[in-house]
Amino acid sequence: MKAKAPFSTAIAIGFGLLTLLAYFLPNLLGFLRDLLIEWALGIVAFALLIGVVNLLAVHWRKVRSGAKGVYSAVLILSFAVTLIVVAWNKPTGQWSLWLFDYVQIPVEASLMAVVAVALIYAAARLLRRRMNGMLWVFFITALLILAGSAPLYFVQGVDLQGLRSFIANALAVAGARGILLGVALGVVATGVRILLGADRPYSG
Amino acid sequence: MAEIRCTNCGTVNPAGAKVCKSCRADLVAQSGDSGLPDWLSGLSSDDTLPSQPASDLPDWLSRLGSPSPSELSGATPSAEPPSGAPVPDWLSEITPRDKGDATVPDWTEELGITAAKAEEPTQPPATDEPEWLRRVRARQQAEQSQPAEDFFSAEPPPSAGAAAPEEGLPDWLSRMGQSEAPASRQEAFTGAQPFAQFEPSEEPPAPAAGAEGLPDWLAGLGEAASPPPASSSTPAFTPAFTSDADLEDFILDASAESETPPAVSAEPAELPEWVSQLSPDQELPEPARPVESAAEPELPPAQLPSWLEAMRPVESAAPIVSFRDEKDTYVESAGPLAGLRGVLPAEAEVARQRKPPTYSVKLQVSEAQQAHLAMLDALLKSEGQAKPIASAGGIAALPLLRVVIALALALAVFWTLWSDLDMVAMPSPDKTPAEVGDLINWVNALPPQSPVLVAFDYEPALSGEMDAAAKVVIEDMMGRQAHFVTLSTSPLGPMVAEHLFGLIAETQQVTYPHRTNLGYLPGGPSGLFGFAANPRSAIPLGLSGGDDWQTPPLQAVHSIADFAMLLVITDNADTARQWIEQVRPWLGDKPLTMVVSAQAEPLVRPYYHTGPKQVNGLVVSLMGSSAYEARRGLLGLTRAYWDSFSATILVTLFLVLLGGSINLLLAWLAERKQTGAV
Repeated sequence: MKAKAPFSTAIAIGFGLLTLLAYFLPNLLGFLRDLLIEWALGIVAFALLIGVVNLLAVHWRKVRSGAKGVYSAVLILSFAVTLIVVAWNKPTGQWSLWLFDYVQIPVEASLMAVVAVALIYAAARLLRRRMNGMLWVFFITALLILAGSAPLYFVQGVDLQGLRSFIANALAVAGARGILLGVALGVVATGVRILLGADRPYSG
Repeated sequence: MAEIRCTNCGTVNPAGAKVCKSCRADLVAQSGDSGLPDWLSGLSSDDTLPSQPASDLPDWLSRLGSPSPSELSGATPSAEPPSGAPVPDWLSEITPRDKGDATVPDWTEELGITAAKAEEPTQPPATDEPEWLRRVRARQQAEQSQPAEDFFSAEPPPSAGAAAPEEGLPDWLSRMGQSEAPASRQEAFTGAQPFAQFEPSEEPPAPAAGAEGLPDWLAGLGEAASPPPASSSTPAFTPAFTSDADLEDFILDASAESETPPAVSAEPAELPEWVSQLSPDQELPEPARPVESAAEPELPPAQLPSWLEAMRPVESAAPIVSFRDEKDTYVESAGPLAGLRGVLPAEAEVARQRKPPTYSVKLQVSEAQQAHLAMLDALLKSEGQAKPIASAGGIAALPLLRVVIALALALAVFWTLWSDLDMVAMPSPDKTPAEVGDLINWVNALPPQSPVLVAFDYEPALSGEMDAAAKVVIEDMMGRQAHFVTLSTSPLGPMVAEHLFGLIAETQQVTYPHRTNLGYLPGGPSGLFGFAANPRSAIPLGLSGGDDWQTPPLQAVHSIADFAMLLVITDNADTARQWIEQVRPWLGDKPLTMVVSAQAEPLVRPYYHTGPKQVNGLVVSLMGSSAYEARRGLLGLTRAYWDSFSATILVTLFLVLLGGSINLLLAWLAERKQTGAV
């Protein structure tokens, strides 16, 4: 069920303004703000549960339709086993941690290792693309950061770590601060648009 | 030519005239015996006044001296034109007719002005008449012995009789002679044949005055006017001959010449030039017409003198500039200005009803924009289409270079792990980074058994890097007997925390008892803010399901500032930023420290380099943990990974440089081949 646009917009703007005013009037509206945030945390947790149910429903439909249902069946089966083990053994139980240590972590770490190989392959083929000045800047910077991340075999007398520290503490910080300022302005603009009703992500 | 003014009637008579052409007074007697004074007599004498050509007189004076009909009647025309002054045919034809019809015109009869009546003696006035008038009347009575017809009875020669040919006359003149039948020579001259020759109009001359042809005003005069006295009858004809002064002069001269042959032998030069060029055999030319005049040779343009040219108006000398706006094609269609172009519209432009212009609905899109649009459309369509997964073709189908890269990396990692050679030395404690040194100092400042909030916000995929970086910091805090309170904004965070503590317990062979796992904190930034504002309300129960807030030392924690330290372990820059922005203001003077991955370092380090540091201590990946271990003199997981890490980076550099060089060479060869082909 979806609320009508005027009603949902009024609720969003009203509670948004209350939360914003609580920053300026913490003694007066602080308790109301904390109450609203607690409600929001419960709603978000419930939303996560809804997301899990929706994921299972999608893959269940795929299993019933028969189109590539093997992968969906594996997902549903894994979910069911994990849910049963964790529910029975609690999240910090021995079997629960075993699943995590010997299934979850190796799978995700293997994917990261593949990513490492793909990145090296892409860096090697980078120079085959159309070359320009910025490409050379990117390529040389990546090599310097890698070389300065750890002491290298057979490389003595070159302070690569100092060069890496300069790049990370000066050049990268300068660029990162620009990015962060842009992000902050974007967040403010998004908040204002939501408070004014220009953006209504809650109404679909 | 000297003229003689009649003292009786004031008419100016030509020189040599013996009687007044108006009142028939004896001019000779007037000149000899008259009441005029001597000076006036001398003025009228030809001896005293030099002869002056009539042409030199002004028009007004010529009109004053224009002969009256009575004067003309006194000048008996000669029967034959003088040899020296040929008379034109029209004149020779007119004269016999005048003889035969020497009667008063009909219209004069209608007016009561007949010759017979003019012969009647006028009754002298009773008593008031002056003496000079009586003398005039006496002369008139003396002359009455000669009837008026005598003036017109000059018989022309038989050769110039009434049957004179009229072929040379124009049609209108012939009709006039047949139908109008002018009664007198005077009326014949009123036909104004010479005048007609100069008259460009094609209209025939006015018909002779008849009973019916008279205008109303003239007929009215005839009915109302009583017979005028004889003395005033002759001047009544004057207006008929004063229509053209030149004509009258000419006729008068011709009459005088015909009357006195010796005198008529006067120079032909006295005649008008056009008259002298005429011959009896020459036909009268047609009246000049405007159209025919155009056929005549053009006259040379007049040459204005320079001073007169300079006085010309500017408008005539300046070029005519057209002020019409050629762009204005509006033509007025109504009103008095209809048909004119360029007039101002009477009504406003907007008030007119017109058909609205038609605009094309087709967008003006350039080819580049169309190409971009097609590319975007194809991209969007591809998003909704499931891409078929290429079937794996076995080992042979794998790219060779990727396999080589994977094998090289695996060899470097496993060889160093298995060799356990410690080929690469740990960083020197003297070169500990500042952020690592700050974190060490904050850990050393922890009170014993103080609560430390640790956030495990990294994914299991990066546990290899993050576990090694965080393990040394956690173990150092364990040495301070810190009470760890763990939570995570990631659903897998609580499991990651248990994994790390389990790893430490495995290393130390002892399970650390002072820790509380609060589990998962939902809500992202909002959840962090809520937890920072009121931790107990945000997470009332721990992961174990019990009220962990009631266990020591959490009993004294009511706000986040009650924790001795906040340590955030994350591999995500956004997560680190959320912790800094939402929680850091609630910590007060308590430190916020972080253990981050190498990929999150660029966006986290700026918070460390701020004025009041928002991040009080920082450990970055294995580099930071190696420095931490070196500084603390510990042998942790970093030392175990250090050789493999160094070897892997070296292999990576070698592969990137080798592959880059080969691809650069291939690209150069391809470009050279393409250039050579061109």
